[in-house]
Amino acid sequence: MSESQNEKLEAVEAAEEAAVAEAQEAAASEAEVQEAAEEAVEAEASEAAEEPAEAVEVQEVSAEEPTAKPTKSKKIKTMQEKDLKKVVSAQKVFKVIAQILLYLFLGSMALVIIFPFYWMIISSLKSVQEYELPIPTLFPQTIVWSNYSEAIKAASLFNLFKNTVIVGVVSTILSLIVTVISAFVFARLEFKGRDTLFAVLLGTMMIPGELFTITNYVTVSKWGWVDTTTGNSINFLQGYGVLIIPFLISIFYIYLLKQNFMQIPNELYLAAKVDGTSDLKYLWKVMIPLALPTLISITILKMMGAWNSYVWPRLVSPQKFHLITNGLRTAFQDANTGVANIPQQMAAVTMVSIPLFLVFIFLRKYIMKGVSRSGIKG
Amino acid sequence: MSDQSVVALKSVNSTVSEEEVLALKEKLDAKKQAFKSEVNARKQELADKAAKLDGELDDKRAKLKSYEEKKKELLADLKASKDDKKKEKLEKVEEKIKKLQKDIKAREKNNKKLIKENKKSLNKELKAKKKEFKKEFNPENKAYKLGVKRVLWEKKKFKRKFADKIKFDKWKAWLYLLPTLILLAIFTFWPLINTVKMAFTVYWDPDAPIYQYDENGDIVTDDDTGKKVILGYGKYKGYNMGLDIAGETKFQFGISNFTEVLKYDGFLQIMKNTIILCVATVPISTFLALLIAVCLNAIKPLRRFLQTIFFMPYVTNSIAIGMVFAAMFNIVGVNEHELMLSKSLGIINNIIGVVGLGPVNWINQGSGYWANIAVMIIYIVWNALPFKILILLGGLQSVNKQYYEAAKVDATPAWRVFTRITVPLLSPMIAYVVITGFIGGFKEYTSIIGIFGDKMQPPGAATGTPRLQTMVGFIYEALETNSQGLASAAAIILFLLIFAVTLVNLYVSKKKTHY
Repeated sequence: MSESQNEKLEAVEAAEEAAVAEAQEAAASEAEVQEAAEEAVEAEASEAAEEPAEAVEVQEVSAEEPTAKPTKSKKIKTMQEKDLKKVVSAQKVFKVIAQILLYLFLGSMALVIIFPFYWMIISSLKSVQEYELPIPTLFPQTIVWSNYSEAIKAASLFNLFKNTVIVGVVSTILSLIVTVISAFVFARLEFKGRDTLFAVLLGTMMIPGELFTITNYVTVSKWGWVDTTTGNSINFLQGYGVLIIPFLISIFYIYLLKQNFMQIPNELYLAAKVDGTSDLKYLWKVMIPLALPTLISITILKMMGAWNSYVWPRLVSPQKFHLITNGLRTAFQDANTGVANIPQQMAAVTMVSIPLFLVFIFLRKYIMKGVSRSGIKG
Repeated sequence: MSDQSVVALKSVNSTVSEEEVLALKEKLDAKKQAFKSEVNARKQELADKAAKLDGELDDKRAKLKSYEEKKKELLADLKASKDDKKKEKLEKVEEKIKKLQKDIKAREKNNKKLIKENKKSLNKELKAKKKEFKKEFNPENKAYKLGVKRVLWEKKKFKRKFADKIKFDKWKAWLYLLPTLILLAIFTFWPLINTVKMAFTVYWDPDAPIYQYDENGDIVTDDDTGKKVILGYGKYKGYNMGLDIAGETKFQFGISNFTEVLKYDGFLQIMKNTIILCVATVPISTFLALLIAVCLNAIKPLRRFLQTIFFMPYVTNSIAIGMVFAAMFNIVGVNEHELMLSKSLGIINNIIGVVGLGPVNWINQGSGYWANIAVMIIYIVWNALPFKILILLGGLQSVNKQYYEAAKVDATPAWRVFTRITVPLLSPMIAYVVITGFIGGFKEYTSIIGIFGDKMQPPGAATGTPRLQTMVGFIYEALETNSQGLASAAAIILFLLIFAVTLVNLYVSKKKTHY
């Protein structure tokens, strides 16, 4: 007991001693800090005392300049501003001139582009006498609407229109169905040889169409679908079929649509399968709405293709199954002299061109998108 | 999407998460530590037990020693004084010693046995524990196997559910493709084979006359009779569908279709037309389109409007607008010798008359070849511009603006910007429009029909090969005259020409393209 008490006492004493020591040390350090602070203050004071002298010197040095400097800097400033203004205004003038030149160039090019259309419409409204004036008029003196009715009669345009619309609509619908299904198969279903088959199909795209046309001509001739004389030996189905069926498949459209379909996540298809949706329903409800812009592009280009096709109908069809373009070229022209009733001709051309322009104005976006991706016409 | 399918899909695609595995591992480490300390404790216990036994043995041994010393003492005493009592004591001590020795021996044996047994049992116990430990707490065994097993199971379930449908897919695809494949077989694949076959099919015509040709390639005529000089009879002739259908002619392999195309006296004319049109129209239209596209890209107001106008020639019927161009260049009532007496010179002649040029007989009777070609070039360029502008403008708009900013900072002149930034960056698009332009140029046909009609030359021009005949025109002409073999050979030659030009273009553009 006593020992432990002693120990405790000793510990207390030691602690007290330590505390005292600490206090002493703290006091000492405080003193040091104070000393240091005092020294610092002194140093500052001395520095401050030295500074004024320097400042005076500086003032003395600068005292000579004040008279000259402000005016000089002002002058420089104003000159710089002037120069800058000059440069900026020169740049502005240059820019304006450049813009004017740009618009002049574009405007004149646009005039060149649009002039044939203008001339077509203007000429279609002139009388033959007015059209043949030595100094042409830029606007018809008397508007002759009868050119149009006579053009329709002369080229039997109604029949040509009818044929073109039938061929265009039927071929577009059938082609869309086949294209959508094929694109779906190539984009979604997995089967052996799919990629090889598609690569082969793409490979055929670089072969010029004439190479196919020759054998196709032979094929449809052997089927008895070709009659370029009276057209009495073929029925309507054969007459239109020969214009539609050989061009139903466009590998490029399948490719275009396949690319579009492949952007649609596959999970949607699997989910639809889990829910027991049939492929056709899935195509109709999901794929087609999502790929609608591409489908519209395809539709327009296909319609334009029918509207513009010339070579094949001339090769295989009789007069009564000819399409619009076939009737245009020869109807108004004397076969021997090449002399034509140009206003009537222009009226017919205008009638052929107007639907295309209407389609273009309303569906510009789809046409330009489709064209920029395909680079083909029809 | 139904819940079932979500679960199925998720399980197929997921594995056990990393966090789960880490938590399990931590738990496992703690258990491992506990296990180790327990093992150590057990070992210590065993050692203690052994030490205790050894200590007892040592006590006994010490006792034995003391007894033996006592025995020695007693023996010494006994030697000194022979006492019965002492003898008895000695016997007793000896007995005790014997007993102790026996005890020690027994204990030693016993201790060894005990320690051995203890060790054995401890080891057995530890082994069993280790095994159990491994079995229960190995992360690979437990966590992963559990997760993977579940995934595999779910997959299997999913597959089993749709196995019949997936199997169906395999022939469903071909079913769906059937119409496409039939049409493709008839109108794409068969033509590929048949056109080549027709091109290499000929027959021997024993009645065909063989004419004599002079050095210009013209047929020599007899001066007296005016008839063509005939050297003999018999010649190979190309495939003919009519003869094939009649079935009386025997066809065989031959290359005379190709030689006939190449020897055809209009072939040079065709090549000349094609090359002139390509060489003139492709650079002009590409350059103009590039200029227009760059200008369109530099303006803001009216851009869309102008863009629409520049695209308009694309949505036209090339024959219809060709007729408009023909009307614009047409001179009404023209007479070969009295151009000035005609009624109307045509709007183009009127326009160039303002500048003091012309009038030129562009397309009418008596017009020259180069005037015809000039009209064709103007029309083809006009027609080709929209597509090229569209592609190049699209390219320009996707060019990184930073290049132009940098050029602006360096105050680079506009022309340098055009040649050093715009053209290199657009080079892939330029290569594209040049290649498609060349392909289009080689297949030029409908635009010529549009302007000159299906005679493909101005009225009144010489008979024979039309002045503006092209390869495609030749093919269709051959088709219409029932010379399918000739047409096929020409189509194959056209394909090879286009292929070669495209390859050259690709080679050049690869060298010049900056990508």
